[in-house]
Amino acid sequence: MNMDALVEELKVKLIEQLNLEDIKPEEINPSEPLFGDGLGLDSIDALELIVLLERDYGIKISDPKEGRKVFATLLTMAEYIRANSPAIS
Amino acid sequence: MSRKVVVTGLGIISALGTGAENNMIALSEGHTGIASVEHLKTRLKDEFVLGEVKCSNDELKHLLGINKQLLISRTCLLAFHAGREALEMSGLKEDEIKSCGLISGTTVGGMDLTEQIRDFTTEKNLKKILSNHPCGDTTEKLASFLGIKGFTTTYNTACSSAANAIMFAARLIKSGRADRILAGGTDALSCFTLNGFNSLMILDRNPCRPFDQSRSGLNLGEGAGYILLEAEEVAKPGKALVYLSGYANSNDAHHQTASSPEGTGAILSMQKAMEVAGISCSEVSYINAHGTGTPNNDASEARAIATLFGPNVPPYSSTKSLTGHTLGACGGIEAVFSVKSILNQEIYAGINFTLSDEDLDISPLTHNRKGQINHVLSNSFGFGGNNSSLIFSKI
Amino acid sequence: MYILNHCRISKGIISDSDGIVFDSQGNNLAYFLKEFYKFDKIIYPKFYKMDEQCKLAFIASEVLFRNFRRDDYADEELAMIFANSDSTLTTDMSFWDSTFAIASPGLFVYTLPNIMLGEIAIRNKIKGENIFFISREYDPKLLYNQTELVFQNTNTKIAIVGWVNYENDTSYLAKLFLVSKSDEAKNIFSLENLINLNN
Repeated sequence: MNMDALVEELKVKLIEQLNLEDIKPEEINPSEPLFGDGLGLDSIDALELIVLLERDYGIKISDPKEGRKVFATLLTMAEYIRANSPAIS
Repeated sequence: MSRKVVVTGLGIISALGTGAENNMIALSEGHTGIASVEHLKTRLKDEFVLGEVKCSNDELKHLLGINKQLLISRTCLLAFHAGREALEMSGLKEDEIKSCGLISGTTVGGMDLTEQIRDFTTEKNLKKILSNHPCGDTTEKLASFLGIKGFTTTYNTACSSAANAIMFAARLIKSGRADRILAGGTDALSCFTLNGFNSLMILDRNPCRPFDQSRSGLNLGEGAGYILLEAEEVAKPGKALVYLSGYANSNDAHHQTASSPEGTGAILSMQKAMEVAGISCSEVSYINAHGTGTPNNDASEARAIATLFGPNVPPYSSTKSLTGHTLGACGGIEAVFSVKSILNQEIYAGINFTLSDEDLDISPLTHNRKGQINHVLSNSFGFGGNNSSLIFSKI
Repeated sequence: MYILNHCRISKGIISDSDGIVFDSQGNNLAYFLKEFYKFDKIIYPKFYKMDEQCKLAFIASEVLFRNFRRDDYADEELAMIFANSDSTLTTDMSFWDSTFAIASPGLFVYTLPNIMLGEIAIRNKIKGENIFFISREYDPKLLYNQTELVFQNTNTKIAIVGWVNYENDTSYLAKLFLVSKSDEAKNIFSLENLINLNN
């Protein structure tokens, strides 16, 4: 899967996993911070993203601090998945 | 009407042992109850250490004289042990027990029994098992086991449940609505809570290290702690152990599960409890902290203590380093420790602390200490921002 | 003690002390709470993350707080006294199911009934006392006595008192009262009114 397709896929998954019902995929800027002001995500959302990575991409993150780096933006998340997922080559 | 409230009975069962005496021996010698998983049937068995009560359900039943075949939750069995001990210590007669009230906190109720159901469609005892499930059923069974027929109710405000039960019992007695109430809490370990806390990534795989810089989470524990509260005027001569002089609850209004960095809710509950007790910061002899061992709780609580007490920070420690975090029961278990601190004129340090956070210039007690112990403040904080503080005072 | 407002959500209808606020026209709860959220122009994205019982409590508190002069009171002067019978049974079961694959932190958070209080506290900056009882049924006497004690023993001036219980999308009840220690209003906060009003 190429990067663009992965980013688009992640936008949809993010909205579903985190119940971001008021947000449309095209409104998410892949290089803007996910936490803080942007989408209003919090620490429970970060944990839910860890679940998403494990369930859909077979990547296990066991340190929540590491999660914070991976989930800085949608782009960093996609890059991390590309580099670590056995499901995506 | 405003009456003084005294504590006349103590009952406890925890990872440190059965009964107040065994618990105090372990506490004073710093023996930890946190160990590898022995009783809980979980696939996470090899991943975590727990503060389990070191008895199987059959052993607990045997000690209580209950038929092995009886279908009953571990949460109830733990409550029976602690409740019975508190009543025995108080020396109440049968008719006094009958009119006594019961306010009990629990977060899991009969979950330990329910989660053993393999298949809901074929389980032949389904109805019987599920009737044990509600938190309120645990309280009703405890009342019936002890012979209590007075006012009975159940609290579930997460990890402050038992502390809140004690606070409300005190208010009912103080205002003349009740003379005697047994109050506290009980929670057994369950796969439900273990998986839940694991999903929140706040469990330490190793023994927890409350307030230490290297801390990385809590260890779950189980147990029950109850205290008998009476109006001073109805307590039997020589039976009053200490006063329950102060209590308060507040909301942190910050996050569902995390405490605010500045500890707003904790400051409010400690401050209001001192107001109710009519004492100042410098009069608090010791704080039995909530101190779960999670990075977030301990940073927030220590910050709150530093802010509120300023130059008068009293010795503080977390006994959860020995018992684990017993959730809905911790306020009851730590109430027993707090009362014992006053009776023994000794404060207990807990274990596994080396170094405070870099931005903090206070640190917890590291060795047990004898001295003049007049007022002990006990904190219990729960998810949902529910913060409670109790103050016990020397008679 | 006076009842400034009350709110009830049951059988697809939201009402307050002035009467019906919103009629779902028979739609199920999950759908109509979201409809009301939009209808009332509430902007609070965390609403979508809550479980159904929390959404129920949240919307009831939003209706209760309409026209309430929140800013007249300090954060610590507001308290909450809630009860229900089912604790968080429905979400407990959803969470339990999730543990067989990967346990969901987002569900686990809602397996404690006092999280309802936490969510309302965060939304409205309520820092006073907050209590949650588990009772077999709506128990006006318990709620009345506990509320009176809270007013007598703390510096609480306003209390949100009541019952929020969710079994499933067709069987649920939110029944909340906004109670003032001193501000006069049409209805006195009494045991009788806890029984007779808001039905």
